[in-house]
Amino acid sequence: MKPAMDALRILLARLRLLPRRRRAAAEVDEEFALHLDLEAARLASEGVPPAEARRRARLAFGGVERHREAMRAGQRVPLVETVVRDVRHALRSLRRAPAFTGAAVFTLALGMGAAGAVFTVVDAVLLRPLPYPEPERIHTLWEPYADGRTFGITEPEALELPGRVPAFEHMGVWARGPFNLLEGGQPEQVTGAVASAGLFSALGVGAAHGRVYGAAEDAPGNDAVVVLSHGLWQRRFGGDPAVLGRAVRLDGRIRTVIGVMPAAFRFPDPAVQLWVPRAIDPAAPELSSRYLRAVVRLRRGTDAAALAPELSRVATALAADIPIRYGSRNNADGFNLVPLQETVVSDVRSILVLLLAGVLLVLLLACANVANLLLARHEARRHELAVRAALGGARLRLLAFTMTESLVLSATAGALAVLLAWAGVRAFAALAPAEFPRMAEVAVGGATLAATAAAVVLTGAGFGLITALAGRGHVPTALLRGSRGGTAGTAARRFRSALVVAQLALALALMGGAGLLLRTLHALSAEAPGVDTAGVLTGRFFVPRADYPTASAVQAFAARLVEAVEEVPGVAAAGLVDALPMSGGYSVAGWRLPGQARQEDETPPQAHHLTVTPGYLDALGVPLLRGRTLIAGDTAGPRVILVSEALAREAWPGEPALGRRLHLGGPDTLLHTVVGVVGDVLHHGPGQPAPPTLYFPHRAYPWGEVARGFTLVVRAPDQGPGVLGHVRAALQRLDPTLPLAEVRGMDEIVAAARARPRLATVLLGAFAGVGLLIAGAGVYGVLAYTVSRRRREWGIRMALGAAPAAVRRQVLRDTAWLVLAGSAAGALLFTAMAAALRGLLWGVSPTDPPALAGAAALLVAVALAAGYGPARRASRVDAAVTLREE
Amino acid sequence: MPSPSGSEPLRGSVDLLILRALELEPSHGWAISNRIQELSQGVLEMNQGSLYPALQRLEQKGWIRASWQQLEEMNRRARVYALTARGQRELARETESWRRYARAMKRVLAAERV
Repeated sequence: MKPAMDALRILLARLRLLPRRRRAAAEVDEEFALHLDLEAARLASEGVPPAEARRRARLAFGGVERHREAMRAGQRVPLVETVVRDVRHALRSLRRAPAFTGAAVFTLALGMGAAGAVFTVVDAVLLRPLPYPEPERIHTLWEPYADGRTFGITEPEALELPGRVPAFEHMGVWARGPFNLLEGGQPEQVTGAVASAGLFSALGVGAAHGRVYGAAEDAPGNDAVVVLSHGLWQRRFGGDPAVLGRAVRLDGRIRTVIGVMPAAFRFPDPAVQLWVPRAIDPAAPELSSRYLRAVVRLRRGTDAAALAPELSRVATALAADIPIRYGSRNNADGFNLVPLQETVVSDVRSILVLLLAGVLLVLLLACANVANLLLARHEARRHELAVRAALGGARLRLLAFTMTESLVLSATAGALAVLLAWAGVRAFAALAPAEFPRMAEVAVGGATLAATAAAVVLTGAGFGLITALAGRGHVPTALLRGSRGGTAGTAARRFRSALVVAQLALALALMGGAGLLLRTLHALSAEAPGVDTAGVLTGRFFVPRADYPTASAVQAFAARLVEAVEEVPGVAAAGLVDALPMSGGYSVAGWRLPGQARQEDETPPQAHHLTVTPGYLDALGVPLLRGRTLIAGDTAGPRVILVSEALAREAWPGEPALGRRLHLGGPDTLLHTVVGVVGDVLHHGPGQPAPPTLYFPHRAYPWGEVARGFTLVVRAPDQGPGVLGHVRAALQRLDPTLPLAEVRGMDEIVAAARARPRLATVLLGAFAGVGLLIAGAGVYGVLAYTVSRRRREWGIRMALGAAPAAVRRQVLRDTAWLVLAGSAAGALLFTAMAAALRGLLWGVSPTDPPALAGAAALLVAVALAAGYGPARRASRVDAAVTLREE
Repeated sequence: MPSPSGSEPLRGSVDLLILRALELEPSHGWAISNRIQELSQGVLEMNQGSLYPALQRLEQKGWIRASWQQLEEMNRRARVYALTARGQRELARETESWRRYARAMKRVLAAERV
């Protein structure tokens, strides 16, 4: 133990010395010189003459050069020196074969770089804990419905839950919403959150400047405060610290800025730029809507799963204590707790896992290719290696050298790969949709470097081993004798062919996967959205309570606005809706047929639920199938609604829906008469079924708070560039404080919804392309090599009368066998993998024949193209030349 | 320098001699070799230069530590060696085992004469 410890210490001391060896040598000289001088001085002081004193001193010291060498020996680290020498040698020998080195390094760097980029994203988004203190204690809280959907919670629940569940250390609720900001420039609509004070304590985050609001300010009358995001502070207020304490007008209300959040704080999502208190009125909470999202911080040591029975009990008690209202149901099944991390990344997990799998296939492919290149090079160097072995190169030293060489190769590729990963991450960030979670945290860093280093070591060692194994059993004497070694070993050739087959199989699997996603995209874009997007513009605005306190004021404003917009030249139709299709955010309502008994404990059928002005359906191009559309007069008298075809089918299967009546709402239900049936609209986007939908006239909306957030929909078929300006001007004339936000064409919105799987498709497609390229290069490489090795054989054949075409056919036949074997193996691999893709597919089966056939066709084409060059060269072998070479 | 005895110190005992010399006070190489000669009254003499590889090894083992210091008597600097705590312990251990060895030798030699 002790000697080992000492040896380790000595090794470490010498390693520390390594970088300053030159200086150490100078110091040794200085030390020796001083010694000699002192000894000479001592002798001189005893009366010896100076010259004699110096001579004697040197004699007593012994050979200076011998001691110097002993000191140097004591500073040497033999292993390191061997390694340094091997690395130098490896670099030299790699430089001498630039074509091989370039191809191998580039292929490997491509594979490792792509893998590094995807790994960086996966690590930052899926693996790393959220940037909050003790993030594992933070959960989101949901109310599950019997049909498997989950919803937010109601205001009474938000008030009651923290007190009733002791395991909740903090609980916060929030809802996103638009705010009209009139400060620091043009009126602008920004997205913000009404959030209870508990949000900040549940997340465990405070303000970067100033403070966040507390419970005292989260109460009605006391809540005129606002906390800004770092981004909004920079953009609208120039990062001025004096913004604290400033009064800003938000939705017509004056609020005091009390804090600015840290730049990294992006909760609930990056779009949210300010936070104001929810300030629920405990005396009169809003009962009807589950619009609040909830986040809780559990007490330390609480097991979320073990809380289920308690949450169920609390839910039952709440159901008994809180009166039931329209549209909501107090759920006795309890509440679901989902770790916040899961909530945040659930949408992208499957995509990222798919990309990781894809990129690992690419890396494998690259490795197979480089292994092949190495083997080819090794064959070519058999002679050199045999000479080395014959000259007494120890087997272990040769192995060490082979290892060093492949590690140097991998390390070079690794360095390049880090750069590629960096570029790849930037490309990913540019390609990813804005709502992709945690993108701000994605950066090439330690994790990327560590993963790349691991890949370098693994691939380097793997290549070294393969090469060493291939070199096993070479008999130096035989090799040296027949210097031109006619044919490569059969086993080695088979192994190399197997590597090519593996590459082809991997490429086929990748292309098949990309093909499936491509077909999904195609199927999604082929699906009719149910609206006519041509020439339709949309924009959002929000009517604040401060300026329009009553429902009738909002409704009057809405009517005036639509009128004004309809008068804009070029506008064919205009209307308002509270939730535009494919834009997220919607509400549902329960319905019941008259005469059906109401069951207390049963969830009524749910319908997508919109309030619209009469022109909306025309403006969006939703076809009226039967009956009439809404008119401005649908305010008094019998309550009327339009239903979508899906709802008509569900409520009155096989019967006409016109004139039929529906109970809508909770206990205080109201009977509504169906006056028209309209076409189905893909409200949740392509790939999701069109929900059964109810259209209420905005002016006659019967329950709760009137809708204040609107999307204006304008149809202007031959819109000149001027239409939008005129529409904005019309809004400004009516109320100069109301900005029109998120102005987009309806076609853009539909395209964006269809583009959901685009990121995965583009990236997997890119991986497949890279894979195909590498596999093609692999085919080319192995054939070109075979041809060059067999020139003599073909030369003889042709000399004996074989037609060049026959030789060409032979090479192409070899190619065909490789492709056939590769395709078969690839089809198996693809089938095994495709099931994992299922969640990302729509409208195609995971074993979609066109995807696989297309991939195979592409593979065959590329492989044949790769094989053609070598085949031509084979048929042009000049028998006379090759035979003379012998 | 005439070498009166010519006796090379036993292999391995160089370390012990150096440690012992440094136990008295930290010194540079020449002083160490001088002290060893003085203390042994010239009996234990060695090739002075061979002291340095031994010092380097002891330093690498962490038994002694070295630092450059200005010499008071002249305008030069010297590498001055000092015992570390580890070195102190090793010295005690080595001394003890050397004593045991010497006692054993003495007994053997005394017995021979009988």
